[in-house]
Amino acid sequence: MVASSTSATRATSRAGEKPARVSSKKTKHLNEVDKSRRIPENGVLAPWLFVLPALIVIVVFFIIPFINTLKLSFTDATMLKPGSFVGFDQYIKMFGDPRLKTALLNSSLYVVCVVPCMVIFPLILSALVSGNGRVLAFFRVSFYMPVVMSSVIVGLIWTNLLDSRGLVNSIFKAMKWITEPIPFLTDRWLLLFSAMLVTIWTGLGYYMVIYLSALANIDPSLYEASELDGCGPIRQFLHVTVPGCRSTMMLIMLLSSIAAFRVFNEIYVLTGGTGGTGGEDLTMSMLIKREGTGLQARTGYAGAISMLMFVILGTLIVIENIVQRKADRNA
Amino acid sequence: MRFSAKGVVAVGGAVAMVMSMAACGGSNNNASSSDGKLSGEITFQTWNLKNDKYTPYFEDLIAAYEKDNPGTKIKWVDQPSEGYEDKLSADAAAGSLPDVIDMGPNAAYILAKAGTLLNIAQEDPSAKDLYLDNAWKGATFKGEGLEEGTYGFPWYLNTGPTFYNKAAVEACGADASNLPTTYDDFFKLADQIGKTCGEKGISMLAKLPNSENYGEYGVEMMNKDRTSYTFNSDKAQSFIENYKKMYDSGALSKEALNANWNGETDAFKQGKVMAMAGSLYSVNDFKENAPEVYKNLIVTKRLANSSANIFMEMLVVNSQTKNKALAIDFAKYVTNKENQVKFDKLANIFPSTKDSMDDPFFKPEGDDLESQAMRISAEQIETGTLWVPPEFSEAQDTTNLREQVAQAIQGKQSVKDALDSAVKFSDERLQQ
Repeated sequence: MVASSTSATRATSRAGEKPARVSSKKTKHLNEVDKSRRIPENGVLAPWLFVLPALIVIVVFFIIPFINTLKLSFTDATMLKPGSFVGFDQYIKMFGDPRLKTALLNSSLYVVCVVPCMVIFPLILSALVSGNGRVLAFFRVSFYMPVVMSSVIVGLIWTNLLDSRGLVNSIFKAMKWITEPIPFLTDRWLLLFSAMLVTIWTGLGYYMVIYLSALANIDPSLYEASELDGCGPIRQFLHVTVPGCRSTMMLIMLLSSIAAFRVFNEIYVLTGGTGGTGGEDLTMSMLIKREGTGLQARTGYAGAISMLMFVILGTLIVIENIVQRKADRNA
Repeated sequence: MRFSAKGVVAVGGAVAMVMSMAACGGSNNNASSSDGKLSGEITFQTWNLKNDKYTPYFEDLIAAYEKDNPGTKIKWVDQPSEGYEDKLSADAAAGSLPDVIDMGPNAAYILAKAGTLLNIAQEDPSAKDLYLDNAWKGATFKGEGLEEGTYGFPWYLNTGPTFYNKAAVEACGADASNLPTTYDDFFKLADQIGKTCGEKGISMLAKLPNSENYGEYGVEMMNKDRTSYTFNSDKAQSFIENYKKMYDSGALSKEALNANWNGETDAFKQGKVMAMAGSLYSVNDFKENAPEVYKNLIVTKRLANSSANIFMEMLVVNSQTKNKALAIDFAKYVTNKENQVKFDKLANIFPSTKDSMDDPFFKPEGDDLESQAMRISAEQIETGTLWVPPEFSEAQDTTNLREQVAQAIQGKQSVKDALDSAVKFSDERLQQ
């Protein structure tokens, strides 16, 4: 309010209009009142007041639970017992747990396989569907549809498609391409790759929209110039579109790698919550959920796994930031 | 090193985001009781029982109790089935468990060990005479850090027959008039016809053994002191070896290694499975949703070398209740003979009280599938056993056992190694 009235006064003065006449005594009084209520623009308090709501949310919902998790990871706490300090015991136990190796491998593989697809395919897709016209709009909406679907519904659709008696196997059998059904949901690697396919299918539309907004910011004259230089669509894509979206690509790489490492829903639904045959498709998030929830939860142990996940994700973010900065400097 | 404001915000945001991922982690009853007369208010929590079918029963039950005991008030709350254990653990950790709670022996064991449940054997010693011995025994726990006691009133019981699909039986080349009712006979049959079944795309079974099946086969799950698990014995190994043989011949569905219970039921309804264990509910389910299978349905005793398994639900009393007398009396009232039989008739389940099974409802005379299933189940209730040790957690121990066994069946490790590993895992949890 204070800022706007000051701006209004300034604006009026700039326009050369005569301000309303106010007695000098009254003006002085108003100024005093104004000053006493005013938060100094350059003071210490103002910025803190602006960030206070967000700060409260971060402290209550992120920082305190994080410190609590860190503290728990050094105890043998269970859901119903506060536990006692055990030093690094939980961490030592964790690194000897074969399930952790499985979960780490699966989550890391997910990042390695899914992230490049999430960075490249939506960019190609957005380049194909950008522009005006009903047909393109139809495709944009179609590609975005999986994003608005519940992950459980998506999982059920794909379970029915990939089951040994599902549509995919039935078609392959009808075409006489296979005699035995392909074990999409029971073979360790096929199940993991099927889950990746589901993640890519659902994520394409989401990242496509982000790329579409980035494409809109590329100067059309660059395309015109490249066309005059004799570039075809592929060279235009490689030399105009890709460099124009580089920062968006880095952002998507960051977002998709965090999401990929935390993968839970797709595998949970495709395996009926079991973590695959023999638990061989467990991921880090599934392992944390398994250890950290329920009446027999080992919260101390789950805390140690959570801290490991924090360190891995934090390292991933730092590496990607460094890569981005280097790329920015070289650009 | 200099930090820009943007950098600080960006790094702070990223750290907060990662922290949020890593941060996982842990009634007020103003009641009172006066000498001899019950009064005050308690909260009674059921598990997924508030619906069109059961709500009138519970409303009438509570109204009748409040009428018989003027000055008392029972607040009925119901929790959805999904995440019930999580809800219980959150309430227990916060010290806000309801006064009377519906749960299974596994959850009750954990809460009893945490000191949050009343020992009914101590509070009301005469209660023992009211319930079937096997049910009372199932509610009696002992273990490290837990005083031996009965930590709840047995409520309803359930069991069921084994269902065979006659069409699948005949397609596999088995004699539909002489079907096995013991695991030994079943595995002998599997040796003879397993390969034929597999080649015809029919599974003899579509599920890995559950924890209760080990007991039904004759495996001792725990030692007598209940200090360690013993399901890595030779008997247990031979049990799993038989499953492996079925898997190798194609008679155990590949999805069985991964599928949940619905997966097995769905496959049975599609006529792809020869046998499955079920309950009275299954008969109606087949009748409504798989009429072709229903026409071919054969009902036999539950597959077991020893006695059949029984599942039990209990009503436990919170040890922190502010109205102990009322809570105990109400839990006993809900689980008394009259009220149990009334509820069981509504829900097609069985009472845990003595002499209740004499009711003609549990001994129908007809030859229809429903009557056959009821007679078999009723007989099993009286002779059956709660095979799953209350210490054996469904969420942790059962899952881990199934995973180890699945790997053994696929040949990724030996059966012995799988069972040894599962025992080690469960023993470790038992000590915590």
